[in-house]
Amino acid sequence: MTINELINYKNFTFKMLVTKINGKLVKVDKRDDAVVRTGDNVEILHLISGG
Amino acid sequence: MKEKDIRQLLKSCRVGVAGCGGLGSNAAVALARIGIGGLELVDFDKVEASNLNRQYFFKKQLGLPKVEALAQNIHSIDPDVKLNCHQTKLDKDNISAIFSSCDLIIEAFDRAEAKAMLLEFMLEHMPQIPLIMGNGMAGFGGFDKLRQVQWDKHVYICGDFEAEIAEDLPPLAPRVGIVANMQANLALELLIKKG
Repeated sequence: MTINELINYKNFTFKMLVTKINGKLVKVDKRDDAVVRTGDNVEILHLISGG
Repeated sequence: MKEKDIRQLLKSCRVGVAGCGGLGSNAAVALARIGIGGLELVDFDKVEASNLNRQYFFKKQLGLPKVEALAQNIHSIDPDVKLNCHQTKLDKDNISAIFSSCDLIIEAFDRAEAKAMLLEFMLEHMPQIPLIMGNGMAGFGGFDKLRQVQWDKHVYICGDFEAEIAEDLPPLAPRVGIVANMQANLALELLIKKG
């Protein structure tokens, strides 16, 4: 599945996310293309307003 | 390390401060106090009364651009800190020009969208420059929830990762100040490590 599909599957409704697959940034506009494979390390950072 | 050696090292360092509000103004002042050579201050906004509960400004500065007010305050502490002030909104078109001469960037934006924009930009275009972000600092108490995480080779994040600013969860000087100083403290550590 793609990163966006994974985000929907996990019910991550947060507005602002930054994603990485295996340590590499997957930009917002590429999340429909980037495929997550078994064994991949996926990091999803939830950014929160305030500062 | 003796303070005079720390100050000698910092004299040749330049830190970019993206946003001069609760996090940025306090982090910038902390760095100025310990002798940072230069700061690149960026913020489009002006000082408002509601800022005074956490931002390093004074009542007589209401209405001033934040970068100008902060510059005044920093120079009242140490006139030797070299300051470049940019009263502008950071975006993909000006980040490089403003921050490329910096040794390290402190992310101190308010909006999550801006944080995401800066993080993605830095990872793609300036991946060697350390970025210290602030993420989640609203409310009070909850000291044990505040932490510092290394999220990428040169990306660090300070905060509790959950407290979003809301009407019943306002940003307040004590907790915001802690996170701002976590950022400044980590900045000092990284700059000294780099030598």
